[in-house]
Amino acid sequence: MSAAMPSAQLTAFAPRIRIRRGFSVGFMVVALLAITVSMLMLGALIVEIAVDGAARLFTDGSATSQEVRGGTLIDLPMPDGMIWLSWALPVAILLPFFGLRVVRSVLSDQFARSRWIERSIGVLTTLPVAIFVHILYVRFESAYYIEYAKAIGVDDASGTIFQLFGEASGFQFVRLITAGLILPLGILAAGWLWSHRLRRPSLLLPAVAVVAWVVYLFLDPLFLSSYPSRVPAQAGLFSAITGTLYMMVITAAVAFPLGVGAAIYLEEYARRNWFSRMIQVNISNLAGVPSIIYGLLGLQVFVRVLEFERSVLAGACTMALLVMPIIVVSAQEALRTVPPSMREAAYAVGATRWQVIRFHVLPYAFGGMLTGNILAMSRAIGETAPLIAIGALTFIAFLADSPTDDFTVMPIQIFNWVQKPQSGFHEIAASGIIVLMLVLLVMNATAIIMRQRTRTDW
Amino acid sequence: MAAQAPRMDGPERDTVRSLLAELWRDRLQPSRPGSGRETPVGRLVHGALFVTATLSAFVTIGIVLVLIFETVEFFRQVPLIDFFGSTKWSALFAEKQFGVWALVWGTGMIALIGLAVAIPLGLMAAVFLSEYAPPRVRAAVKPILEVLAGVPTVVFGYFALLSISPVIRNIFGQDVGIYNALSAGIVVGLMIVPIIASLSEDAMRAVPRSLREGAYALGSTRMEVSLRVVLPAAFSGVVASIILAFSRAVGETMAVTIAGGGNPQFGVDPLEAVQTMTAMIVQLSLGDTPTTSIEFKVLFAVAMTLFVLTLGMNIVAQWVSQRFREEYE
Amino acid sequence: MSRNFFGLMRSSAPPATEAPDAIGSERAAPPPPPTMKQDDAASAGVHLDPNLEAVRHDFTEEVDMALKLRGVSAFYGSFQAIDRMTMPIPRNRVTALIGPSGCGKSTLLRCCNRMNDLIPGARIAGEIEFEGRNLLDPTVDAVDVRRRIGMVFQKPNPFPKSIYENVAFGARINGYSGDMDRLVEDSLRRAALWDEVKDELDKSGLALSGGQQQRLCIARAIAVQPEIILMDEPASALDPVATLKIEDLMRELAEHYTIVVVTHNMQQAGRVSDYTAFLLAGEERVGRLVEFGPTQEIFTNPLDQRTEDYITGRYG
Repeated sequence: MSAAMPSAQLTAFAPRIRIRRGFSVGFMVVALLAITVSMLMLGALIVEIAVDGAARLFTDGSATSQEVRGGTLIDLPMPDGMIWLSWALPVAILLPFFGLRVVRSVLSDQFARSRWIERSIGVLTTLPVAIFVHILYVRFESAYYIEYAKAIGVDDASGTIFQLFGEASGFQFVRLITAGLILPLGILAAGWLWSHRLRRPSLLLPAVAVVAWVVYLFLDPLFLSSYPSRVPAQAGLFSAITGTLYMMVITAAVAFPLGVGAAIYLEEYARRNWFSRMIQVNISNLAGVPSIIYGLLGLQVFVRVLEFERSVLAGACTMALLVMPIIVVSAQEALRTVPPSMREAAYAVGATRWQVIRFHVLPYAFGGMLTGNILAMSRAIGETAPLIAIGALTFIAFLADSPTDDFTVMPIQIFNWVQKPQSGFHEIAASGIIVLMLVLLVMNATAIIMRQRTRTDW
Repeated sequence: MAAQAPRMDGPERDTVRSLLAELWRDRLQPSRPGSGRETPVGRLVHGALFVTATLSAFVTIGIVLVLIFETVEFFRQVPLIDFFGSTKWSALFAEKQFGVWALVWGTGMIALIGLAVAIPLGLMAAVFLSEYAPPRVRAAVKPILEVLAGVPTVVFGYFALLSISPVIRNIFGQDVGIYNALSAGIVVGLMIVPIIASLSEDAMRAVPRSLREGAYALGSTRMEVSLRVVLPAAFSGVVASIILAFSRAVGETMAVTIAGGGNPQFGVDPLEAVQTMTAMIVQLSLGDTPTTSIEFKVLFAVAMTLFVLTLGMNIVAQWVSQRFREEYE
Repeated sequence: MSRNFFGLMRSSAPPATEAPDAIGSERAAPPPPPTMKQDDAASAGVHLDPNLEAVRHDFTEEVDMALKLRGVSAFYGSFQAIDRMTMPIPRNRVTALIGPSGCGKSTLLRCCNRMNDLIPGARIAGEIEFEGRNLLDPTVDAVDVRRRIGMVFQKPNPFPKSIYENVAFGARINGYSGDMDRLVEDSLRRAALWDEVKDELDKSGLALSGGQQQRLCIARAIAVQPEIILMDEPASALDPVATLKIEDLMRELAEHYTIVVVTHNMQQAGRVSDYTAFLLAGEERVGRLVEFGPTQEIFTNPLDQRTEDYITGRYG
């Protein structure tokens, strides 16, 4: 009896139930469409730029195209002395440290623990990249030495290197060492760590190196190694690339310690009081301040009050302030991933707060911090407005010799070219964009890969 | 019960001396009563870190001081009413007029066009990513969004000027200028899509699973769950993301400088060239303005306006996301 | 060492006259909880601390004390976690802290090496005497305390470094400059782990099994040569076989170290400990010491009805 009732109700109810799956699918289609449209627009942007830019960026190899541009393709001879020096110097500096450790570990029974086979393989896989980066750098540098050789009336650039050292400024010297020290050895060191984490060699880095080599073969050396010019066909990105490089190195050197330091203070030391809350809110507000306002700050503080003039240093300091909030926030996030149990474990064996941070928290969070730093640097590379505000120039026909020289960077150069009426300049602007985007893509990809690799399960 | 260990009390215990104790003997640092809880290096580091943390406060103070200083100078020469009471801007002409509303209007117009593009795209992307996309698609699209957010604005400027403007001219006729507010607004919209998509998606994913399951259990379709349950539940986060995106659009500089044209005006036609506050600052910075001139000072007055506007919006966004945050346990 | 703990031996001397002195020097007296019957106690001629009664009279006979807790209370913000615990920790013995969840066992344990200093808002009142000093005294270096009173946690938490580095870390930061390899080997032997890991000392500590990880944590703790090792439910995250190993280890370590172990597992307390303290939280969730004494007596002949109820399984 009673069982019949619900079933009757159900049948009465049934027609009202409509499964509107159509809407759902419809929405999905619309959403997919929206995403596709934005991807397509992005694709259009990429194609547009690629078509315009490729013409100037890549060489078709024929001599005529070189002549049309009115340039002469100089096969940049690399000064032998420089190559040797740039490898020998860092090796001479680092050998005592590493060599001693290796010898000591071989002599002691810790040798078995040092995983030297895995690490050697790791280093070997990164070797092609290191050599590639090194040659690329030397190529840029040698352009400078050739200019210099011409200026002092010497035909053979390879001889000038030793003359140069007589008069080299500190910054030139640092730059030379950078060629060997930071870039290739940094990559090798990354390979060392890489192998330790991976426990098996990865083919990713050699693959990247091969691709880079292939691209490099087709690159038109004139565009990358020419100074700006009034003639589009002769204009190049040389001073902008080097300017960007110098600025980034200084920006990272200033912003990373400051940002990471602030993050460590806020996460590890600060009590939860009004002061730390104020700093925290302040940092998130600073992240939202338009970049051009940082430019005006830099103009008044660094250019005028501190009298850095319109130099690489002033630009880098401004940029460091701009990206500091990003670094702080990402470093804080990295620090928060450190499990509290690890801190406790270290405290329980009698570590002081700084020892806990130094030996456990920082090593654990370092990958995340570095990722944040790379992302911040990729923001800094693309920023234009603050540098315009502090008055970075667009027409720089020389290389910065010291941090107090005038400079230009890639986005400013591109902005300058886009603003010119001749379509020839628009094309090389596209070429410049390709270079800039490639650099950014590499940086972002590195950051994303690093973020996934350094995620440690606890 | 307890398996009693051999007792080693008094002198007997001394004979049972462990190897460990031998190793440690004479190496134990004496207890350091009252010596503080940190090594000298640690104390030094503590101080240094404190300094770096306070630096951000000094940056803010620096920005405010720099802006106020020159702004006050400016208002000594130009009355407030000329700045806020006029819609005519001609700072570079002989007869100077400083009606900031022309710039604010230009900024607002481009930012609104940007929002009109970005809100539908961004929200749809967010809903799709949070509710529909399989994990694999999500894992692929999220980094793309990040990369898109990292594209330099100069590139968007190039895109607006050399790709979108020609299309607009094809549609609306060749008498439309190559510089116009519409093309600048569209690329600004594209630029802020990642902000809306990413932040809204975070807010939507924070909505607990139980809420969704509750709605599904009532027979809701996926779209109903997405739009009627998840979206309202994440509303404060979504609104905050839109305000933040608007603030970013207002502060955006290079694309609007390149594509917006340099014509400060107070018209409603999006096909006309306009000038934003940021573009004006760039324009004045590019020229060699002497630091004593009125043009240099007005730079800071405009920057002050911009700073106050964006700061206000950021604070509102924070307030919204905190005040209206729905707490789920 | 004093055979007459706190001057209090109920069997031989009435406590009323001496006990107040023992806790009279207590700084920062905690706010009296509502259940505290100070007046009643005083008028009845009994000592001020109700907990003292819980300490069984016949345990002090032939051991000396590694730690003496006197009126230890702990607060997290305004919440009081434990209330005036007074008890001894006998040297070179295993002392078990038992009691239902939330009765303050772990809090008490963390007071003993000042790990609670690391928690914002945590406060401790009372006195813990360690080698003639009150280790809760603000002038005492908490870092030094932690080196000499080690700790093993509930969940194994080796550092994400090699086994070797895990053990060597504590010694290194504490200025040990002797033969590190020997120290590591000896610590691992002590922790009964050496034979299992001696060929792979460079393996990550995280690559070990749960039981091995916990023994690694014990090796890490003893490598700095502490006098006391505190263990916070060291076997609760482990399987029965690993648990048994840890228990054997505790018995062995007790020859050289004083061990305080928190456990939920009554059988475990019975198996490994020489002394047992039973803690219980009242209605306002403030933990108090109910009874302390030799394990055998606590388990077979508890003085307090609540202890008996707990041991026979009437509380959760």
